[in-house]
Amino acid sequence: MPNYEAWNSAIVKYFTAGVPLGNAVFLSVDGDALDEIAFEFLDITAGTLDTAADFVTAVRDSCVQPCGKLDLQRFRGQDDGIPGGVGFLALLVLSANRMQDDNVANDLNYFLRLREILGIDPEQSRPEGLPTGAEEPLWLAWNRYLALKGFLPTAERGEGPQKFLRYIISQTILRECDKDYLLDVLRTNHVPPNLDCDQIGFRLARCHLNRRHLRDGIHHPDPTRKWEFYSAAHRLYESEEAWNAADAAPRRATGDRARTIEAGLYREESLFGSATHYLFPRQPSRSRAAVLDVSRFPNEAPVRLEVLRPGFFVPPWEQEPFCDAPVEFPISGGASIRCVRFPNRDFWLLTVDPENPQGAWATWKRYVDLGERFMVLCRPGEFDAEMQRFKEAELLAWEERVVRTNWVEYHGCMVLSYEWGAFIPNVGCRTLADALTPRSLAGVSLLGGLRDPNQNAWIEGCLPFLKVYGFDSQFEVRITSSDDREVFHDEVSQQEEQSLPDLSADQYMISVGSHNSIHASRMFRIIGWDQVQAHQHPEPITNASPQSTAGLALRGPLIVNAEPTH
Amino acid sequence: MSEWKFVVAPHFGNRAKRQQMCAAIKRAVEQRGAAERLPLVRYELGSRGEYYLGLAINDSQAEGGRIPDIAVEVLGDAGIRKDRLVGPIEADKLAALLKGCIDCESFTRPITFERRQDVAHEDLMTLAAVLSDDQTELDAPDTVVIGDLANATRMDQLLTWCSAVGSGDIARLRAACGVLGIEVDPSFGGVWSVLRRLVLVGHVEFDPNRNCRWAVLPPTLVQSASDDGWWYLVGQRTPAILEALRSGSELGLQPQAAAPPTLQVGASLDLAALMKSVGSLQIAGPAAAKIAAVLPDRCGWKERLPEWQENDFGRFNIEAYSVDSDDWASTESRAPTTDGMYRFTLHRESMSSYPSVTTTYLDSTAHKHICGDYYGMRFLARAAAGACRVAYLPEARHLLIPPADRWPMPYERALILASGMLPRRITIPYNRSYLSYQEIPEELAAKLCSLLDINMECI
Repeated sequence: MPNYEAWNSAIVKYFTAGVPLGNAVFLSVDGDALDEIAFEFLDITAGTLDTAADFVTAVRDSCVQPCGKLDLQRFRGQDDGIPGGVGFLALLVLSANRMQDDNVANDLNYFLRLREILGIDPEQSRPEGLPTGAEEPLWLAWNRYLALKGFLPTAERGEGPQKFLRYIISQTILRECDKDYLLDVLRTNHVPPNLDCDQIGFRLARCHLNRRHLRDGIHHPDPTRKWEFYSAAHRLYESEEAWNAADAAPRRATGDRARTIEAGLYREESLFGSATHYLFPRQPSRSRAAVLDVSRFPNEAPVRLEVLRPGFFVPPWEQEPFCDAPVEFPISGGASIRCVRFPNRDFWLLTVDPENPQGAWATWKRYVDLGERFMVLCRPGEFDAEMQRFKEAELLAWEERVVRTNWVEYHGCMVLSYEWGAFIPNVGCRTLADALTPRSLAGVSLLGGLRDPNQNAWIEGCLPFLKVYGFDSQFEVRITSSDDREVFHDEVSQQEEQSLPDLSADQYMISVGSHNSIHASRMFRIIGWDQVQAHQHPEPITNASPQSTAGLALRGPLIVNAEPTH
Repeated sequence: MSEWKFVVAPHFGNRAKRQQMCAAIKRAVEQRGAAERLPLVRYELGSRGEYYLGLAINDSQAEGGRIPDIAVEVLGDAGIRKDRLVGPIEADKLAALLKGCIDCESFTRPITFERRQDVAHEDLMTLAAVLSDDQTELDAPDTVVIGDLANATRMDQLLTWCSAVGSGDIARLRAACGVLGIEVDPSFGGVWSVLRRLVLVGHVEFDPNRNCRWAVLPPTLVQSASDDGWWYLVGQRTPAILEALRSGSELGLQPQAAAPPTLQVGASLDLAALMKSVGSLQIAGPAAAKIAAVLPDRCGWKERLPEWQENDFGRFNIEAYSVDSDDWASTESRAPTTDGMYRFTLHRESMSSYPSVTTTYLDSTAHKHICGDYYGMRFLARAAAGACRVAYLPEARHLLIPPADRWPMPYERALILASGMLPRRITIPYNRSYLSYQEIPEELAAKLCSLLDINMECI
């Protein structure tokens, strides 16, 4: 049986695997996650172990003293660079996920449940050894670790009586009691099979949800949190083995469930405007990296999926953006991955490469940030007409509309208005309106500067400009360093480029607000030149042009092929 | 929205009731499939009491001053009587009144649309041909503080950044140069000039067939052509890589004017140990000699160059290169007939404010215009006229080339890879200046001169 250290390390690997740098990480541990962690990262065969019980035992053995008092001391260190307390924090979240109703906000009930899991005297109070706020250093260490790795930490402190409980609630996505309810909602609403994460999310957003935790999550103004609920709902939808078959007694799958790789679209443009679209598979999150080969056609040799960067595979082949039905490309190699699925979408929202503002347009992100420019590809007919209506209603503007044979492209789109609630969409186009509707009153962009994409950090002395996009004329912007020291505080006008002060290497938080409320916050990191890391796999570009190599295939000083290429 | 009109009705309710009313109207419109004709529903802000509710109309009936039946029906279902309805009224007259809507209960100010500035096209146009003789890269600073990355040159920082990002397009490199304050003067080739230098010294490679996409090489050791056979590092260069190299060998930095300092590694290096400490290290060996051994001769190279498939020269402004003055001169001819280098400029307003420029070498015997970069085409013109000169200093192991006779890129690559150093400018009596390539063995110099069919003078 794995010990605490093994669980601690496996949990960290599980929650950060396949996550693009800059994306949010939630420590949303539940029974299904523990099954997958055991299967994917601890090499435990599915069904051979009660993983949740084993995990709880490992945590209990590591911190509960014979007298029933908790000892958190051993969690304060690091194990191979990984904070030692993540396993314990995971147990705190697991306890919240096992709450049966919306009472997670009630700390007395919560600690009763925690005591029960830890096997100590059932009382409605914090366990001995876990005084108020004692767990906060562990959360801060976890947040620091994530930020150093280039991810966006999400565990946050609350206010008032929920000051510390908020850390746990902020990581609770789908609780055990939400899952069956959600499946009922999906069934009641006759949700068809083979939908992707966005499609499931948009459908759920249209459903009436009785559970407050779920409703708040699905409609959360922070898109990272909202999309975490969408992703969790999609995982649940996908794991429902009986979804496609009319199984009278469906069972939820566990760690060894066969999964699919979601694919989006990657667009490469030539200098003179012609564009080619490619299949753009997302690296599956929460799974161990494996060698995966994907087949386009049954009689063709499979193509190896190479990692482009964390979160994405190199586009393997050209792909028409719109098809009549979802297309599945079978995978060989990955035990738990069945196929790459290209969904049957009515529209695509493409954003520019987050690591390179001059780079390719693709489905890099699940959502469009306020002020961000994007490209819409949609089917002709009602979706095209709906885009024109958005423009007529002054909700959206674009630079150029290009009609292709099977779809219409809108280049240089920007959402302009917050008043999408006034708009009445055509029923068939609701999802497009949902995808474009802004949920927060402001957003902050960091533009320019030089970044080390390997660490999702800017380099000292080459800092970006700050620009606030929002639906007010002035915003109060505050920047604090990792030790909560204010380094910038000023009124900033809407869409005005603001230089940052000369900040040294550290992690910073930007908060944007107006009228005493905070509308957006964003974390960013600055590193010194001496911390810059080399890209792990620079593209192997070979030049064989007669003008610059006389036709020899050269890669810098290396001769790849001495024969001239014609 | 300017085309839309509103039908307005007074109603009672607090904010929550107003939102509920709007939601009910939205549902009713959606259920009737009437969103095209009734596109918006809004209300007047205010804390309590009577307020105005507005339903937008995009319907031909509204043009005649009538409230369309569908609007009456929908509002009637929501409990608003027909005799309370006012309108249709132009949308702009009500803009200040109807500010409330679902999920938005306060005044908001729209975001201003921003257009994107596209510089990539200009960069590539610059690259295509306008490169003039860039002398800025030839004057070297005296010293660089070895190992002091905090005070490193901008080009050093550019290479560090390239090492981190791995690859990119020309616009990405241009943006980085802008941030670092590296001048990219369009009259000297713009960012192409920077990329060209990084390519010549072997740090990066580019693909002209993919909009000049470039990528940094993994750390690669190249053996110089010097007598004692020291090595130098090209490709990725970060503090961690330098630290790993430093542990197993002696390092030295040679300053350069417009390229990162050359990182020299002592000849007595243990390659196996270095490859262990720098996992991705590649060994290129004596690259200059290897490349020189497989380069074609001048005729062979010329044959490999692409032909410019253009017949309609009348659209272009044409200039001819003068070998004597090493400069351009306008030509009246609409169809050049004599051998030489020509520059064809086309001003196309539709594409960009920047002109499209094509540099060619006319081979009248073969009846074709050959395409290439400025240095390459100029060399062909000067070589054909017998104007190219080159001198070799055996003791110093320097090869001297007049700036006007700068060699085509494939051959210059071999010269520069002999030392990892760009040429320096030296001036001799009578104010003549030369490009001086270092650490060139006589055999390499002779081999390359023979390939280019030019006479090498030994001094």
